[in-house]
Amino acid sequence: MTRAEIYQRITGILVKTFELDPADIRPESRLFEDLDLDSIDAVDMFVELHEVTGRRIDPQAARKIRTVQDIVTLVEAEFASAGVPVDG
Amino acid sequence: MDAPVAYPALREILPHRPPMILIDELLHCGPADVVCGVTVRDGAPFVEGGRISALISLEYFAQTVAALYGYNNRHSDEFKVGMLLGTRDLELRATHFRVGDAFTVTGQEVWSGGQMAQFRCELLRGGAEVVARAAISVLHGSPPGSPTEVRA
Repeated sequence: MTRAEIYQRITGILVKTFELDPADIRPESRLFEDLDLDSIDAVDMFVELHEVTGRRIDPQAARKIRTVQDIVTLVEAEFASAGVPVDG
Repeated sequence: MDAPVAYPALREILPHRPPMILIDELLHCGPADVVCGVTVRDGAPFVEGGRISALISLEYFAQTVAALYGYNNRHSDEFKVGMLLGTRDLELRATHFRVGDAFTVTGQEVWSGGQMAQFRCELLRGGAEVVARAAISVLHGSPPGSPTEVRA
């Protein structure tokens, strides 16, 4: 999987699950302030990320997520520790 | 098939009190999956004119998941109060259920982290026909900073 594909998956989840406008989503978008998600939405996000990565997201790492790019970075790290290569 | 387990009455494991315990019995409980049973009865809360709104499914789901936590924490000294945080993909295949309808309610954990978790739940009439399903997000255990109630 490439970085671009991971980003596409994440934005796809955000659009489908939270009915966001794709035009509003950028890597630097802050989930709570810019995209208006809340902590209950975060549960749905973790369920979706679990489905993408097949791994249980570490709650400590999850707590540090602020932006869309943070999610992408987290998913890349999950793939890396699962031994799945992430390309360019 | 599991060996038969004698499960405790729900009032021993739920923080709810009658008449607001809306489900009848715990039928199966694993670490992350649970099955309860309920039959709609005349005189039960929210039953009017021999029927009950299918929206009650949400509370059946919530109490079934509460039974999982209550049963798995039954040896703890504290009653742990939880909360239904929200629901997603609620699908109701009827507007109402009728007095006499017998349901099994299933809950399967799909994610958990800290005190939050999400369960996929189904309501099956006669043990087979899915009449409602949803994903519910819950907080289990008392919210941080809240008073705890000691088990009586």
